[in-house]
Amino acid sequence: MWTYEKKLQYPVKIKNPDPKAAQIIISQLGGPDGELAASMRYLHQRYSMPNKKVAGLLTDIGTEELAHLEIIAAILYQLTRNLKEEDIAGTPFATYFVDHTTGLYPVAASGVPFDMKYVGVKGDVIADLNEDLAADAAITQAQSLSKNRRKPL
Amino acid sequence: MKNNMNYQNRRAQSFAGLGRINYEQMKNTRVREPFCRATPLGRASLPWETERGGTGCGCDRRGNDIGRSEGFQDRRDFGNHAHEEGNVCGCSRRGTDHTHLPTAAESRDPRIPSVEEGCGCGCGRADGDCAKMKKQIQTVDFALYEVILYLDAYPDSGEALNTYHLLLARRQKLVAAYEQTCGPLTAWGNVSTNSWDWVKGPAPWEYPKD
Repeated sequence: MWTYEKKLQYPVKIKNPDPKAAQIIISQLGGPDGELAASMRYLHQRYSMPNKKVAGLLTDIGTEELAHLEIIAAILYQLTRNLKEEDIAGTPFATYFVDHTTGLYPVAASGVPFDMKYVGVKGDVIADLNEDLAADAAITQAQSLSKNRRKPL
Repeated sequence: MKNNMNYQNRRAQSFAGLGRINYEQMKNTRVREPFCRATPLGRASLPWETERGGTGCGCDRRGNDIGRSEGFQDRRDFGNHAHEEGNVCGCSRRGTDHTHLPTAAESRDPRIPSVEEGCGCGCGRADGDCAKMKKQIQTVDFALYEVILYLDAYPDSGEALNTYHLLLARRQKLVAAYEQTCGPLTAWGNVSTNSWDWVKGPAPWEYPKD
């Protein structure tokens, strides 16, 4: 079972709220290559792994992805704090704001809500591990598209 | 997924993204007045081994020698108790000009984080400063998670297991110290018997005050 630690895995301090950045970064939350997809993928594939070492590894990685999910959520929370309507109007974030205001709802940048269809769990070791490789490559590509260019989570 | 599990390469990269410590620059800065005041014990193999919770010198921070070191002292106990001999910050680093450069052994050991947030002199103590203490725990946890993932893949690596225990010991000390003064880190770390601190204080995702 899971324990929660009341700290982020990596500290987040966003000085300047920016709704445009929020619209891009929200894909890391609820998009096909986001942390929610990653954690669901790893945490669900581990049950059918015949090799228990691999099951343990998937458990630990999946747990860490949940921590990354929290980091992204903290980034979005701080990017959208104290925003006035005129800051939001005209930005792509406005369409998200209509339905969710500054609440955090996992969607892709296109507005498509998170979908478990982004995840494949076949119960077959080779298929599942290949799915992980493909997903990781996609995640790395998606994250390096962002301006920051830090090491991908 | 971690793509560089080789923790031997840590010193060549920024540690946890916090940046390499610039020893040249550090040499020229005045040692700031640290929150901690203590002298180290004689032995000094790893920097944190001399910190046995409180002063490390065995006094109770009121000038009375109690002959043993207490656990982590509550921040209220930090009186004006400076020890005249040794490094005033209580770190194990030597150097007559208190530049607190690492020892040769420390520089060679890639497992020791090269950045120790803390009082600024490089000793790594951050007693009382909750934000710094939390950052220290985050730093150790970062390394610890790397070792855990490595061990998941290579469970028979004795060296990795040693590193794991090294970091875990450090972490347990830091967490105990943190929970004494700054509030619980987990729901079963609520030290207070008259206040449910778990639900108090800012959430981790809030904009940090400082």
